[in-house]
Amino acid sequence: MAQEESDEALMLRYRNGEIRAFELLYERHKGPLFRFMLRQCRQHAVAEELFQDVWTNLIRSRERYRVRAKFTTLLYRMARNRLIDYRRSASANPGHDSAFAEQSAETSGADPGPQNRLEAERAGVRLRALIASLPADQRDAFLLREEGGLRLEQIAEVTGVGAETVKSRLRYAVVKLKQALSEDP
Amino acid sequence: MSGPSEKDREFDAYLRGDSPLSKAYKEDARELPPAHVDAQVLAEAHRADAGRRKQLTRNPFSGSWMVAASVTAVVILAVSVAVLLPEGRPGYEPQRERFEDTTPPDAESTLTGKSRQRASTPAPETVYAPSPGVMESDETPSGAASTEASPVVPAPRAAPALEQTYVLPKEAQPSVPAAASRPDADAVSDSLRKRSRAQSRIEAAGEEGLESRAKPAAVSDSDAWLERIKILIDRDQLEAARESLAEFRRVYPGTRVPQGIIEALESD
Repeated sequence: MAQEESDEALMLRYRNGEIRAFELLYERHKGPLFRFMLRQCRQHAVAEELFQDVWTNLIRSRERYRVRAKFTTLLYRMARNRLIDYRRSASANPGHDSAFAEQSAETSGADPGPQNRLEAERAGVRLRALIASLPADQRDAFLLREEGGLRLEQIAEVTGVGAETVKSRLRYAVVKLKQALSEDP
Repeated sequence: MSGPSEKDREFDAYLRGDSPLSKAYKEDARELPPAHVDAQVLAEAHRADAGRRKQLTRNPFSGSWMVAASVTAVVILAVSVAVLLPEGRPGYEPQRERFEDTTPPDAESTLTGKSRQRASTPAPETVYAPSPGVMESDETPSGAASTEASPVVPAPRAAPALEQTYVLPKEAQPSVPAAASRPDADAVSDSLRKRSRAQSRIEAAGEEGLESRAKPAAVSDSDAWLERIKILIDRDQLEAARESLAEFRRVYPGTRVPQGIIEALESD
């Protein structure tokens, strides 16, 4: 029964002190959110840290929670903001982490690298590598759609751009991925 | 032309969730956060919840305790002020009014000295000794009064300090003068000496049947004395007023006497 309850209702219950509601919420979203982070920064340790930060922020701000939008919109906006902060700090200190360098390479559409090519022989790994090679905006839109299950308008809300822009980015991402999958056996 | 439309169809299918790309992605997307991350997140949630519960159980108590303490303090303060400030009570008759009511017979008998003294209104047995705060400034008049024999003295009421304070009989007077509140030990001992001298003068005067002589010692300043003279004039006790004025001039030779008193007493 509790599984059928909406995310918003669970979050409200948690805000009112029901820890069980949070456990359900966490169980429901931990996988997609973790993968969203992992695909974005591609480093397990960093993804774990950022993932944990997002949930901690959610816990600390629970008393201010109001149902104004879908819960996942809030969750992924927090996740994306945390990623932006992380990338900003990484760019301020390039030696801090190699993730930003990877990010720059991905954004420019460069080759994922010889190691990724070897791994890409397996279909799943290959798909992930292709996703990683997408420009950041397109990858953002694709992952928000796939992992967050957000509609175009919700992605637009999370990313702060118009719905048409999101549609265009997503379209480019889908076409590129399909093309790459069909070309590269 | 067929290219873009094909892409559009594929994209529409993707948006509907009916796309091989989405299926391929979802089949592969199985990564989960490690168990230790799960444990940390849930522990954080539990900690936050426990902190909230603690706040909820403590805050109402501490809040009501503070409110109750504040209300109690205000009530105690208000009651204390009401009790300690008698002027605030309805029907309160200040001490000075009582003096005014009781002093005329006494003053009359004292001022006229002899025949007009009434047997029915004997002078109060209590010797109105000066209050401690008055003593230092009364040194000169009391000294003059004790050396020069003049029956005309202001009544006890003439002392403004007495009007302001509750006057105690000499045996009930506080043992420590007002000057003792000063930190200066010399000032305290000096004040005590003065007080003791004045007390002995008062007692000496009483022994000689000259209670009235002791009364100038209760006069705190010349203004009160002059006020008393005015009262005597108002009551047509001109003789007594003249005697009192003469005494006043002996005690306060340099003090200016109001023209109204001079005219009233010396015009005849």
